[in-house]
Amino acid sequence: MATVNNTLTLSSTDLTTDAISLSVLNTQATATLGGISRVKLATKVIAGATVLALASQFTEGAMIWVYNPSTAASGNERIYVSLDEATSTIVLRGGDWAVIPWSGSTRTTDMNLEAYGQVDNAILEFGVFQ
Amino acid sequence: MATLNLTATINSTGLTSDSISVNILKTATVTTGGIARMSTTAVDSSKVILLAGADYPNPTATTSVYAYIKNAGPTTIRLSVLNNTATNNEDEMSLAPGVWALFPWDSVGNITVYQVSAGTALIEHGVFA
Repeated sequence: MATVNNTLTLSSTDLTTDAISLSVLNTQATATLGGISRVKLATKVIAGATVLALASQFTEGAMIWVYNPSTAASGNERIYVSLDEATSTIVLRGGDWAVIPWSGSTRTTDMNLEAYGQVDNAILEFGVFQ
Repeated sequence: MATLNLTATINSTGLTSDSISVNILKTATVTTGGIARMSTTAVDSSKVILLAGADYPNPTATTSVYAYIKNAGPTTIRLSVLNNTATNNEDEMSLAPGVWALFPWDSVGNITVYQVSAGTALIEHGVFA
């Protein structure tokens, strides 16, 4: 078993009168599953979307990391991440990342973690930890 | 206009043969946002709106709206970013006490929330657009 530490640092010095500076930590102390990978996404629609992780292998408490490494300035290289195999739950524009918890097989129906791109051959970096 | 810096850091030694060390900075230009806390006694039969999409700008082709949510209370909470009114849906995000999430939000629908057991949830949140 391993420990996975996941930290968010959020800051802004000029958004509000009082500067914002926070740092929060998610710790998974007994992780046995996870890793970082980049994949080329298979489709531009949810049908046939790339399966990033099988729900059957994860339960409530899993943590998803997703990152769109695109540097295109056009805004046309979005990546759509789905938790229910039906709709886009999260949309990542170029440079966007997200950390979201995932319940895998804990829900009524097992739904895999999937993703598809706005353009052909979109690249996504991701990891699922538990 | 203001600058928002969002840094994700992921570290692990021993999970894989190659230790994991990720550090990604997203810098965004925003005009609205801030950090606040709210409490609720909502449970599955009385889930409430945590963030109303109508209260926030929408993303554009090149800009995102970022939602930060942390469970600062003692009970697990579940969120739907798709404004689902049912409970235990596959799209729900479950945040145990102390757990945070950050994601781009389409801000069209609402984000709803409920606790998995009775009590008073304390939720820290921020939306930056």
